[in-house]
Formats: sequence, structure tokens, C-alpha cells
Amino acid sequence: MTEATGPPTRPGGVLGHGVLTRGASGTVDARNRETVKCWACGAEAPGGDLCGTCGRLQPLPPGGDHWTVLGLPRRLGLDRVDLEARFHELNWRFHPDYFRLRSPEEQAISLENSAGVNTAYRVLRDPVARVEYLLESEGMALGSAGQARPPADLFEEIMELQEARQGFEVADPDEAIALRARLEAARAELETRHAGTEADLTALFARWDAAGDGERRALLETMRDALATRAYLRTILRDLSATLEAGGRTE
Amino acid sequence: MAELEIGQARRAAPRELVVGIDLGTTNSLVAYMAGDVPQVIRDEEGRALVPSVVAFGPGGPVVGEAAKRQLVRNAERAVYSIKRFMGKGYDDVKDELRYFPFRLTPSQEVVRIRIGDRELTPPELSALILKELRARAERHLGRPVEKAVITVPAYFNDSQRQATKDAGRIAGLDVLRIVNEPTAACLAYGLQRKSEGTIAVYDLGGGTFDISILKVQDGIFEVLSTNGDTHLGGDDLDRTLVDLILAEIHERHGTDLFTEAEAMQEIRLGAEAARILLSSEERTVLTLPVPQHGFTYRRELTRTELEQLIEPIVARTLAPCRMALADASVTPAGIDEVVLVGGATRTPLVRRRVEELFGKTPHCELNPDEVVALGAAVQADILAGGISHMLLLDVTPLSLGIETLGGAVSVLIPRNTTVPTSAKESFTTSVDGQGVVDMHVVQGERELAKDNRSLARFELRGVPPMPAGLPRIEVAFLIDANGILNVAAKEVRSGTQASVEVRPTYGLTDAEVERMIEESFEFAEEDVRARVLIEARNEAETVLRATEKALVQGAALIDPAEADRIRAAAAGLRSLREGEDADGIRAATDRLNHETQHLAELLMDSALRETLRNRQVESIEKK
Repeated sequence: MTEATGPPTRPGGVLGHGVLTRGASGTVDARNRETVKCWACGAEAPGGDLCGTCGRLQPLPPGGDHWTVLGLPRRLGLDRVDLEARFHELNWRFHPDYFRLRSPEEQAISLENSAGVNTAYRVLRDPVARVEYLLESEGMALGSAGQARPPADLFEEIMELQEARQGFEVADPDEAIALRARLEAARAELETRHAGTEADLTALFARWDAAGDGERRALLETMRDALATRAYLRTILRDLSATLEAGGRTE
Repeated sequence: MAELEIGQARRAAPRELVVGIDLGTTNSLVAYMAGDVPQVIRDEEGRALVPSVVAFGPGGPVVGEAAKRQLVRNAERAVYSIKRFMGKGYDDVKDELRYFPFRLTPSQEVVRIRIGDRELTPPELSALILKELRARAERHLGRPVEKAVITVPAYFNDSQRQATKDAGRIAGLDVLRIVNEPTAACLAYGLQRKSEGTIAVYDLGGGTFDISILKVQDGIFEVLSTNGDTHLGGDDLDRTLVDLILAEIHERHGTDLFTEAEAMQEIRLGAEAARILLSSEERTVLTLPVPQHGFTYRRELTRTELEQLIEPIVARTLAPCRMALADASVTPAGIDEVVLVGGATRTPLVRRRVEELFGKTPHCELNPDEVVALGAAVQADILAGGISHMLLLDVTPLSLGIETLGGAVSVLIPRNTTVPTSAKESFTTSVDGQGVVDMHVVQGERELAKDNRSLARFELRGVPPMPAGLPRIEVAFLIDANGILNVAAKEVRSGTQASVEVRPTYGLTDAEVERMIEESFEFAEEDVRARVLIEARNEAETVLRATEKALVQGAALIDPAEADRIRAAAAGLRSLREGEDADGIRAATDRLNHETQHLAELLMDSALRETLRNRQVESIEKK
């Protein structure tokens, strides 16, 4: 074999994190049409989940985002109870369990629709995932770890913490005890801070929902910064926990 | 009865028959929906459990009780706990092989078990158990059984699920759904008691442990999270006792019995029996004759002693419980009900620890050995178009991702995502002109691919030559309602549809499964004959019943000689019906159909005249 081979890499900043989208392979035909027609009988405007003419299950509208799939306006402020009710309702309508006795085409659509609903619900029910998805779909995705950055007010503290962490790994028993206490205190503080970033984000939801286009861009940037902080804190916390679990060299 | 009788309008086709199967580590069961109630199918002696044991003797394989009796005297050719090997590689199981008398062939791929000069994979062995269950169902129901729902531990990974599905295919079953055991149990409880709320299902079986947290509301059974250990169960409780017995025998007699298959089986079965007995008794006496060495091991064992031995094993179930609670964002106080599933939950220590963790008394109204099979029958009925007021939304237990450069994992679908689900992600190349991209699909929660479960490798070929980083390779994952993954990949920028070839890491390829199905047909001529006989008998029964009815209705339409000819043909069929000669039964059925042809036509005419007369009466009345 002369061709170069190798494992795949994540694309850099330009392409960013792949956008999680509803599997759309079953809807390719419909996408190229100007007006929606029933895939089975060709009736114009089949209307609803089932074609009004032939009764067959229709794919979800192509190109719709997670909000559209769940029949919601594109807003960040969402009511959990309402979201769950929609998730249940749509699963009653689309779940493959209830299409097993239908044609293979309808079974495939039922699987795609159901997967689309479940994916939309998974992303939208979690406020952080919801923001990440919004940023991605606005072309402002947070890239991989490279873009995560320390919060400015914690910069000094984190630098000291990293030194303490390295010290702990090679400390003698007495030092290790003191350093462990210090690292554990730092971990508790950073965990509080990490949890706080979610509140920082959700505090902006109502503003983004009410804002005009100009203001929205600025708000998205603020949210992206909050996410970057969050990602950074998560990395620090993970390293810190790994260090504490491994224990000092001589502990 | 001749086909013309169908003029009386054929009844709607009976609901499709789909059975529910609990394919367990120690025991297996089959259940079906008898009307609105799921029912476990028992044998002539009333036993519901089929021991999951396959023994190979001179007359071919035997399964169940008969095989279990051979565990000691035919130890090297009697295979048990096959489920622990499903979807595994040799390296995964080599550490516990000392507990098993049968031998494995070392290999990099799927486990192969050596029996005499044959080598069998776990799916082939499981298929023999499935066939036994299928035959049991066919005998009981008098109908061919072709479709099934099979349960698996919730924490089974993709390879283990796929292996179970393969076993079904090899057994000639169309596996409509793979359902998670704790979820199935919850369905069975849900059908019985119509309860709602947040439910924890603690399922400790013969070889696997699962914990699932479900939210039950308005007929929806939504799994919030699941966790577990696919290598932790009653077998492991027994091993603590086996180790104690072996150590004491060594101490007292200086004998090491590890390598003696028969003695090991005797000890294992003795340990199991003692452990089960101590669930209801405070003390027991273990008596294990070891004739090979001329001594008998005897020892009193109390429940307290047993509990000290098994405490660390029971403790291992608690961390997964806590993780499942955390993933579901539920505290123990937020759990409305706890349900116990699996024979090992009869152990008092297990009940105490579960009660302590959740702070409430667990439910066990439904037999913990049977509840999973009952739930499988419920799901089978949903799929057969029966029950339409229940919907199960299960999750994928482990995160799924792709290995990227440097050996890290990029997660596409996180654990506890409701299935079906899909995800797409873009990747690119790292070398200029790279034409082939190796994809490695892994499952698990670790950061590095090598620490996770390898599911499959595939190559994406035909990527047009481009500088590194330019191609955009879109990988799409789709998990179906069985929790089984389908992967597709394409290079988007060039629009080239590259080919994908998936090689399962610890599974069977489609070609291998096909070959096993063919082989199993060779061994299964017996099965086919049994099915043909069942069908012939059923057809005979239908025709006989229709004939009796027609003879009464049409008594006045035919002369006595014709009636006698029909009776003679019916008697001929009746005498053959309980015999074993399927061809004879069919010939006699055809003969009876032939003799009743004339009567059927007469009845049809009279039915038509009757209908016309009724219409005339109606039209007169309307005027």
C-alpha cells in the first residue's frame, strides 16, 4: 500500500467542534425540493407527522435545529417541565416500537425522527450544552482545549496552584501533608467557581432572548468567554484530582 | 375444511407471536403474553428455569437440567456461565479461567471454547440455549416461534449486545429487540402495579450487576441513568467460598484441587448450594466428598461467616449505585421505590446494604428470577402491536467515541443518552496526501482510547489527495433502540463517497454468523422436523374442528352416504394426529379437505341465499 494512512485528527479552530446534528440521511430527498411533498405518495403538503393522503410517517423538516425539532422558538430560556413533556409527546409519535409493523421506509424514518428528538432533548435540557450548541450554530464554537483560558482574576492564584501541585508530586512526607491540605482547599474553591459559571451563563439567558441582533452578538461573546473559563477550570480540576488521587511521591 | 368455507369471512390474523427471553448467566427463561398477562413457560415438571449449561456427549449437545447433571462427571465438556464470555476477547477473561474446567483457545479476537476437537464461540453456545427455550415455547404454545425479544444486562457494551443478537440469529430467531434487564423488570412491575415516580432497579444476577434509575410517568418508562459491572454476580459470591474451601482443603490435606475439573465443579456447586441455603438458614454443614483423594471435606458454615466473605463483593455494587444516582441528578431520598431483580438479591446482606443506601425497603413481590423474562414478554407484546399504552425509553450505558491522533478519545455520544440517538462529528487528516483514514470506534469513560473497549476498526478509503488538515471527514454514529451502534463515514469536501469496512474487534463478522447459521441447520434437522410436525398437527386440528361444525350445520344438505365418507376421513385424520408422521397427517388433512369440498360449496350457497333473504326482509321492513 503506497497511500499514507493514519488515525483522524480533530480539525483546528476553523472547523471547530463538529456540530451535533440530527442524522439527516433519510431526509436527503426532501431537502432538495422547494415544496414539501409526501415521500411516499407525492401529495403536496402532507401536513403533520403522517401524510394526510396516504397516512405514512413523514421525516422531520430538513435542516431544522434542535428547537425546531421540539417545536420551540429559538430561545435560551426554556422550561424544563415543558421540554420534558414535548420530549415524551414526540417519542409517543415517533418511537420505532410503534412502527415495527410498518414499511421499512417508515421504520427508517421513525428511527431518524426519534434519534433527532432524543438528541435535541439531550442538548437543550442541559443549559451549558444548550449554549454550546447555540454558539456552534452561530459559527462561534468554542474550539478544542486551546481556546480555554484562565479567568483573569484567578490567573495569579492558578499559577501558584500549579507550582504547589508540582511541589506535591515530589514533596517529602511532612511537606506533602501541608501541601495536600492546601490543594484540597484550592480544589473546593475552584469547584464552587466552576459550578458558578453555569449560573453566570443562565443569568444571561433572559437578556439574550429579549435582545436585538446587535446586542445578541456581544452577549454571545460574553457567553463564549464564560464557557472558555468553564472549560479551563474543568481541566485544572481534573489535573488536580489526578494529582491528589495519585498522592505525593513519599506519602 | 375446504378453503371455500372461508366465505364466512376469515377472522383477523392472530397477533404475531413474539416471545421474551431472559438469557441468564446461570439460568434462562422464556415468557409470552397470555392475553393481557405475561406468563413464564414451564416444563412438564413445572420448572421455569432452564440452567444455562450446554454439555457435549456422544449423542450431541444437551442443554438445561440434563446438561447441569453432567457438570461434574463430564466437566471438561460441560460449559456454563457462557454469558461471562459474550463479546469478550481472550485477554479479558484469562484471569478467571482457573475457575472454569473448560479450555479456551488463546487468540487476539473473539473467545473460542475448546470442546473435544471442536471450537465454539460464546454466541454459538448461547444459541444452543436459545434453541432449547424456543423448543420449550413451541411445545407449550403449539405454534412455531420465530421472533423474540432478548434481554441483556444494561451495562453490556456494544460487542456484548451484538454477540447476543448473533446468538439469536444462529438459533434461527429474528431478534426484534435487545432490552436491558433492569428496564424489563421495571416494565413487568409497571404493568402490574401502575406505579409512577422515580424507581431504582438493583439487579444482581448470576454473573452481572446493573443499577438503573427510571422515571415512570404517564406510561413512559424513561431510564435516567444506568451503571453496573458486567463481571460481578452470584458467581463471584460463590468464588469467595470456593477459595475458602480450597484453602482449607490444602491446609488439612495438603492437596491443591485447582487443576482437577471434577472436584472443582463439586466444590463450586456445593458452595453455590450453601450460599443459597444461608439466605434462609442461619447455619449449614458443607459436606464435599473428594473420592479422588480419599477424603471428605466437612465444615459448618454460619450466615455471619458467609457475610464476612462476601462483604467486599457486595460493597462493589454500591459505587455504581452512587454514580447512577449522580448521573440521574437524584439523591437517595428522591427515589420513590427500589426494586430487586436477580436471584442473588435473595442474599440478606445484599438486601440490607441496598436498604441502607436508599433508605427504604426494597420491593420483591415479583419473583426476582422471573421478573426480567416477564418484562421481556411485555416489550415483545408492544412490538407485536399489542400493548400501546407503554413506552420504554432506554439509554446507552457507556460513552461512544472515535480515537484521534495521539490516542485520545473524541466522544460522540455520552453515556446515559436516550436511544435511539445520532451524532456527527468532523475530522481531518494529519499527513499530506493521506488517502486512507483508520477509524477506531471505542466505548467507555476513560480519556485514552487504549483504556476503553475497542468496538471496531474501519478504514475510510478513497480520500482524494489533499494537504493535511484540508479533508473534512464526517463520521456519523446512529444508535438504534437496541443500543447497537451503526457507523458511517464520508469525506465531505470532495464529495467522494469513501468506502467503509467495519471489522468488529471482539465480535463475529456477518460472514461468520452466516456460516454458523448454516452449520446449525445441519445440526438442527431434528428441530425442523419437530416444527413441521407442530404445523401439520395444528392444521389438522383446525380442519377437524371446521368439519364438525359443518356436519352439524349442513346435516340436511347432504345424503347420509356423503356424511359417512366425511366422518371416515375425519376419523382417519384423528387417528394420525397425535402420531409423529407429519407427511401422513398432511395427506389425511388433504383427503378430508377433498371430501368436504362439496359440503363447503353447499353451505356457501345456503349462506348466500340466507344473506339475500335477509336483505329482502330489510328492504321490505324499510318500506
